[in-house]
Amino acid sequence: MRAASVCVAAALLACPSMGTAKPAKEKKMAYTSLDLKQGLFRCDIPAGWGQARDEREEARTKVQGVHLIGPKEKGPLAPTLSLRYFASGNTVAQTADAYLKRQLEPGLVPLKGEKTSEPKKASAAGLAGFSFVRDTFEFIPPRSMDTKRIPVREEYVILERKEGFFVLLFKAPSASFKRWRPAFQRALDTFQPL
Amino acid sequence: MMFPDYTISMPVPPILLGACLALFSSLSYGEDGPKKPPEKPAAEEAADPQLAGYERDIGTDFNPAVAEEFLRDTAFQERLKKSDPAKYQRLFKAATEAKDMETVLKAYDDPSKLRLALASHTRSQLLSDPAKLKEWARQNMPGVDPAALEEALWGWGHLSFSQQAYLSMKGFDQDKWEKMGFFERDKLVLDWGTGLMDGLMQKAPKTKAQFEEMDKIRWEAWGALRVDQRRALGEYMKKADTAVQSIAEVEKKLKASKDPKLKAMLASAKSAGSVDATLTHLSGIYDGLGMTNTAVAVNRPAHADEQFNEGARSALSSMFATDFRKRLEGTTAGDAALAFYEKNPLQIAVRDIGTPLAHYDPGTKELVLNEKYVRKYLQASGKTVGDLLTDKKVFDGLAMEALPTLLHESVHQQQHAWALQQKVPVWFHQDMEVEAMSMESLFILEKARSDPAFKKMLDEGQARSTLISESVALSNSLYRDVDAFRSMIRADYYPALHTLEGRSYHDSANAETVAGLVKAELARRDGLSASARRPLDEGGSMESPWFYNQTDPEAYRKSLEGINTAALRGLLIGAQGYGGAIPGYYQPNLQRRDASERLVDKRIQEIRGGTGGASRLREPPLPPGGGG
Repeated sequence: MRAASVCVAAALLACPSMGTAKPAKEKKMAYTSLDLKQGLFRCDIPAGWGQARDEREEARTKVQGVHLIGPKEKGPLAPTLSLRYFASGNTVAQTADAYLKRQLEPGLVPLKGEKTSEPKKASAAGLAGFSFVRDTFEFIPPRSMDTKRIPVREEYVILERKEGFFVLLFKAPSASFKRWRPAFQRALDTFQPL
Repeated sequence: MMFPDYTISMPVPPILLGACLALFSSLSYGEDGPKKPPEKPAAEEAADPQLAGYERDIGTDFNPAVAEEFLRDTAFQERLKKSDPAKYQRLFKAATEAKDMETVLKAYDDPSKLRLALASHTRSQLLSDPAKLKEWARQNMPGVDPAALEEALWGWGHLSFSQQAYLSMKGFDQDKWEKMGFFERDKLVLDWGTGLMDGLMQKAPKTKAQFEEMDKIRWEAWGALRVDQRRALGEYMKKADTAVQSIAEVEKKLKASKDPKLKAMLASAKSAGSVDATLTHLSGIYDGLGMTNTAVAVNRPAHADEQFNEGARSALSSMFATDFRKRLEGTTAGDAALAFYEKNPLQIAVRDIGTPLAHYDPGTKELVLNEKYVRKYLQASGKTVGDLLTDKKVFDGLAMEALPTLLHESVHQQQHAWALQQKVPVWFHQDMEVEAMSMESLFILEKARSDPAFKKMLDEGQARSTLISESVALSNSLYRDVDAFRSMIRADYYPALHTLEGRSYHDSANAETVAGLVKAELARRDGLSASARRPLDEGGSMESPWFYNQTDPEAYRKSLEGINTAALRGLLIGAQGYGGAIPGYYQPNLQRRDASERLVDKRIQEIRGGTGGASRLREPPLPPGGGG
């Protein structure tokens, strides 16, 4: 398996673990190899994390991949890892640039407290792209007069290929983001388009 | 948020059931219920490979992909309905179950949310045995994680230590547990969670450590609780958190104070036996300090001048009704609502409705805003009911803030009127909520573009209201990815509501149960002596009880024993007619869902200025109903 690296100098500030020595916690995390022919990639993913796919929806949207959900600790939210390939003609965004633009737009009304980093150049497995980090919130329980705002962090890596693009997204409660991020780093390091 | 009195245990509100029964006269089955299907010659059946395929793939295998194809193949459905109505009903029912279960299993990556959805599937054949559902998922939905499904089904190995301990105390072990059905398991774990919740809601923490201990228990119980319980517990925990944080803040502020009165109030706050009493004392301390703590102000019990009487409610309702129309113009959902209210009266009421923010009340045809929500607005802004009724600025602030919520309820009113216009019962299902939430979020995006005052309210209101923040987050989510938004609404906002297909399936199953048990009861009566039978023919209750998704048909059967015989016959005709009519009720709902999705896709596309997402826009948008 070809090793890959994400070269995102500025993102090191936002995600201290990226590209640095692996924290002790990572040693405890076991990994398994995911080989997704329909998503056109393979990489290592944390063993024991829940996996969800929807192949019929993938056929409709032309967005293929897998959604992984980790264990919940204190609180209602679990870390998640979404590894998706947006094929040409998909229903979400036609190009990596269009996808990135939409994600980075502040929205017609910016969400107070939400911060999205500037996009930085990134690469993995020889594919060039961008990455950015968003600090935002989940609302639990939703639609309630007493909703709790739970800070979450999302880290996106968008990789372009000749046709279509990959979006690798790691999301976790801000309080436990660092603890679980090595799982994302491992996926990035081992990511290999098929 | 939803129609009142709609619960999982009562999916056909009586008023609607009445409307359904009124429609029975127009059904093709006649008074004797569905006619016995004409036997199709074996050779003819064999020559119909499409039917054979559907019977195999749907009737036997519950294949969701084929089920969806069948549900959209109206030409084939018409043919089969004519040639073999009973077979058609069976296939239709199986197709709705398969399609519904697929939607459910794919919408929820979090087992605790999936469990909420499964708990409402009381009539599901697939769920009747957890092993059967797991096998079906393995065959038909390989993308579903078996471990997540097992966790949602309360697999023994996924229970927490305290859940296992509780169940052991009740006499259950792994062997017994694994032989039990999902609903039996769910009830026991729900009892466990409810016990924890009840215990938490008796506590009045004063320190961070005490609150953190409660918080730990809250999240442990969370996955076992129902939506309303989660809301109620969330409300209580927010109050408790506010009390603890404020005690710490006030302690610091009073450290150097020599005011004995304030110190006594702090002592009272720290010894108060309830969270409400603690917050009341804390509120007094902040008043004494000449300070405002918004969190305390919002969460403490309301003062007398923040409470409504009938006169105030009525005055506020009139003000809302006049104001609402003025704020709608120039938006997709707003213009549809305005057109609707050209032909239908607009009534807005303010009253206490429990935990939802608002709902549409089909009985009174009112959009009802929760009084508690209005009180919180007043408390957060330091205003009184009198201020609200006399100060235009105070009212405008509330009217603007409540606008998306009222618009959401207006969509439900239009859905309701649309159903009656279509001569179909009002099926309140998850897709109706997806539509209402989509229209609400689209409204926020459009209104923020065209109305600077509204945009300013959203910008500034987020600092004081988490609800406004949530609305903004939702509209941004719709803007970024419409499909992801819809999935989130299903999974996070309305996990316990049936999908359109789930509603169709459950109503079919309920109607079948009613018809079967009523027939059995009538047959039992035929065997009675004349003297035993007379009181039932001449007396007995004239009620027509309906089977509302209960898990115990035996209790329903018993309830039939005291019903008048003629009333039972009427009930049988009603049940057979309703069951037979369900496919006809499904199709307009399906068309409405498609039209609504197309409309939202198109508008979002326009807002984005033409970037991406074009492939779903195959047809021109249709109005999302509402011509009342």
